[in-house]
Amino acid sequence: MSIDDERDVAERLDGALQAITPSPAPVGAALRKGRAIRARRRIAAAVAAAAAVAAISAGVSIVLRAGPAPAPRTTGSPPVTVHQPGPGSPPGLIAWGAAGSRRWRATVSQAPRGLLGFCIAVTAVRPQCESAWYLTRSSPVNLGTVRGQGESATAGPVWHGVTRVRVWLSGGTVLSLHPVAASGLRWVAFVLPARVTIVKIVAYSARGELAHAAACRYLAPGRCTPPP
Amino acid sequence: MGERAEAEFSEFMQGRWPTLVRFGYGLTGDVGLAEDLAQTALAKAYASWPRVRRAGDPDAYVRKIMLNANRNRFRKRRVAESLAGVTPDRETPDPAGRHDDRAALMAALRGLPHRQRAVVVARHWLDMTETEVAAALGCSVGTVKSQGSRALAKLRTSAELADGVCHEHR
Repeated sequence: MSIDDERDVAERLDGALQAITPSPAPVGAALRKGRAIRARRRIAAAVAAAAAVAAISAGVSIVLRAGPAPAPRTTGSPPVTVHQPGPGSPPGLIAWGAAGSRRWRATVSQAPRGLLGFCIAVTAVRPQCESAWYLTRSSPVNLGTVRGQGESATAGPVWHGVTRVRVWLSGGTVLSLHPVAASGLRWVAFVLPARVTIVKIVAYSARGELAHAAACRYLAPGRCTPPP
Repeated sequence: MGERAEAEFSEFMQGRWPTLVRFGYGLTGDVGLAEDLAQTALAKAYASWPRVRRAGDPDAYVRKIMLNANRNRFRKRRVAESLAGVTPDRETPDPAGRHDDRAALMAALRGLPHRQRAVVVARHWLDMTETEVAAALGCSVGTVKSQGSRALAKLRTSAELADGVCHEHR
């Protein structure tokens, strides 16, 4: 007996495998197991969010690498732009843009030392993973702001239902941020040049406004007072 | 998920169960393991049934899970299969005496590395294309071709198939 060609293999395999008589299909067991898998996935998603809250220490630190000095202001506010990553972008990139004359990129990656959480690196030159963020279920958008050498970087995760975050800036610019998925969460990020401040932030779902805040860490209705 | 999805999945599972168990037997050489693989894969398919149905090819989804689960068996536990020559007790009656032939082939298959075995069974019994096998195994089409060629070369020269006797390997 020998294996001569592929058809020979197919025929012999068929003969060998068709000889097996499986037991009756355990449909009930598969249904129960499938429901249990679905339930575990839902729990795991909730636990991951909670673990990110619990395991990461509060406080945000973002270091901006030294880069070219910002161009002197002449008239009006310095330009502020935010862009979503396009196809083929590096993994973890959630936004990029310009703060005045300095370009920046915001990326999400696993926090160092095996912590459950993430780092946001904003730099004008090369990415540095410096900071960790946490998510609170009470806020549709959880933003933290860190000040660097003149610039301020603001970033954070958002709820699944948040479709857009608009940021009103001093000087009249309005940024429209679209959440980008990375490391299991959805994120927004932007960098402001010196002397440009946040006036108001509003989060939107598909149905309309979700929550708003003014120049505050947490974005939730009624939690922050407007600036003077 | 509603009753309709449950009924749809049940019908799917009833129809595919024998083929999937036989596929699993080809991969593992053990009927019990084969049924475990098939049941686990079907349960995972049910857990994502709406998405699986929308993708349009639940068979491909289930086969891929079975192949991955079989591969993970080796990764996690470094299973050294016992290549027993004992045939499973759930074979159909064998009036024509083809038992030795089947046993010899299964022993020869069990002598292959698990990836080569998967390629042989997927390509030559399930009639999956090289592209489908590559997608299911998470490797390139070139790898499927090379693994398939090596597997056939080994089967051609296997001791089990040369003399029709089922050898025990230790």
